[in-house]
Amino acid sequence: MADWIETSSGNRISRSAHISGSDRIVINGNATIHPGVQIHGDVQLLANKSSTDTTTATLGKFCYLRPNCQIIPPVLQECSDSDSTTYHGPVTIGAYTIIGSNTVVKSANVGNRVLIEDDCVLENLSIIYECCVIRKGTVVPPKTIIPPYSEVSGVPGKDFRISSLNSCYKRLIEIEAKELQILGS
Amino acid sequence: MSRIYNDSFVFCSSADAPPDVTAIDFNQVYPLASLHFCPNCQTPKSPIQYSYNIESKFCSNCLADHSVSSASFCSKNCFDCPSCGTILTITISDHNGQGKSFNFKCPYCTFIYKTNVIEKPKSLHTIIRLERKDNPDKKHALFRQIQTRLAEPNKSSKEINQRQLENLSLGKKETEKIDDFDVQESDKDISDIANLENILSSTFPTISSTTKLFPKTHRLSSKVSKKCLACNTILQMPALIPNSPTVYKFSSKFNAVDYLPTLKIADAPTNILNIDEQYNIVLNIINPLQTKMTVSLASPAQLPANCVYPASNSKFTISIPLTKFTIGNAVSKNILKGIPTSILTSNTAVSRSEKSKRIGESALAVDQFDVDKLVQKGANWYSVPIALTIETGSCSDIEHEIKIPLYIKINSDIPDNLLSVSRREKLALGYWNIVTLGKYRIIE
Ligand SMILES: [Zn+2]
Ligand SMILES: [Zn+2]
Ligand SMILES: [Zn+2]
Repeated sequence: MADWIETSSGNRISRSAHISGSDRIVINGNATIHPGVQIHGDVQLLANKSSTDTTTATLGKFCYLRPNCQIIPPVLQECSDSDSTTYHGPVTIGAYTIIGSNTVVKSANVGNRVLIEDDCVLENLSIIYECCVIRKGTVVPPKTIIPPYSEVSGVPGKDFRISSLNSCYKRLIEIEAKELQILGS
Repeated sequence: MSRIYNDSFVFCSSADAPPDVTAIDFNQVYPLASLHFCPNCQTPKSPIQYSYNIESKFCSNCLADHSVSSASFCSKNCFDCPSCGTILTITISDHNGQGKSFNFKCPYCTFIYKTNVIEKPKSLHTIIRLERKDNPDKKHALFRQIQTRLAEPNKSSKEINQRQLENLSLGKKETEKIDDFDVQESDKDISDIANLENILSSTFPTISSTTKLFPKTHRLSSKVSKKCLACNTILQMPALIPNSPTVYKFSSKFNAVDYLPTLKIADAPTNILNIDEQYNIVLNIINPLQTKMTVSLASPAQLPANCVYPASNSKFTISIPLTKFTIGNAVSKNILKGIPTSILTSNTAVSRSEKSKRIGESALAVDQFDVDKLVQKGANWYSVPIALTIETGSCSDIEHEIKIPLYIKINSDIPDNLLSVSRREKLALGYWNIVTLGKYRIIE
């Protein structure tokens, strides 16, 4: 049995990735999901009267998820004494977005063409706009909004830093994601 | 081949002509992707070689546009944690209709702040400012004293001038240290401040310092334009889209990665170099232009002292058998064809079959010179060997970082997008690209 499942839409998914609630996860094609990746799609969404959509996680085309990264839909309401359920909101990961090994994403939204290096934590309900580079080991604090074309590094309270990223990265991150899809590493 | 993780590190010289290899300042070597390109000067531009202008300002938290304000912080209800910088969450407590208080809580660390009970409506900024005034921290206490003294009447102009001078020098020299400065501690080795402190304490009772922290104003984000410092040509101009602070587009941008080739080495030795052994390193070169590009490569025959750190008594020689070639134009539609063979992997079916196809093709081309066997080329790339030999020297237990400086000259027709901004008919320039090979122990 092959180690990888290849779908007609070009997705390449490792058999040893842990994808729960896969019927509620949308993967838009040409995505790569490496061994040990966890996508927690089987969470309870906070009821939304205006929408019947039960999608918990969306991955844009050419998403590249490196080994052992985790995608957890953001928590909107913690469990309490009266209600033992934790309620989540959906998470959207943009196209050509790369997520590093051992990185944990609890964001509400990660934009298109975002390069997240290894060992990062994107805390609950953070929002990363398009065209950002999150350097190795960065912790993005809860609810923090990272504007487009930012380079982010460090840990809050220690050396957290947001600086501006050159405009060429829009094209460079897209090429990176497309090449990774071909090369597989 | 990655345009982000590679070996394109460009020395940005402010001199008219690129200097001798021994004069390369490694502090002015930048990754290619971080550089702009001046279409008029036809040189790459580092962050210290262009001017900036703020074209628009916005708050990344509430997304309000602040372009017309002169402030550098958000005037809405956006506050940062003073301990860790995270945006604070704010809740309101009602006090039996007698007033309200505001609670700031950091979602990341343990910081909390509760305002006094506020009876009349005031902005959060005003509330924090007033509470800080009543409870000043060290820095604010000291500056308030200075402010009061300066405003004080009935002093001879000579005396005031003297004090203003002291304050000025205080501001200049001690802004870094002042955060740690305790007004009550006079035995600290900060002589300028000690003087001032004596003058102040003779007139005012010493203000006790406090460690109480207050919510901090949230700094604005900006969109900036950049201009070449040498010729004022625009290098980057954001397109301003009303009411869409987080939509970031550019009306013009000139980036070095679009004009200079991207370099990446393959087959570099790992960790150990043997004396007398020759190492053939593959240098992959990618043409980013939509037109063909002629590249010439040069390197010093022997690595100069500044390229081996820490210094070594070994002699490192470099030779490049093919130094001038013409690379085809970029093939943006076919990513696979644009990846040099030495970068292809066996991880995916697509990459595997392309790799074996190319190796098969090059094996068929037998009637070629030896050098050409080592040279590979594709649509928009060339791979040439660089031979590194350690000729003499002694073993060394310490690791030496080895850099290979390559002088790269490029020549092509002027790219279409430069036609309107450049008066020249050719794109032609030379620059130093510094390849960091790695760290090595040298053994016999
Ligand atoms: Zn210029
Ligand atoms: Zn704001
Ligand atoms: Zn905090």
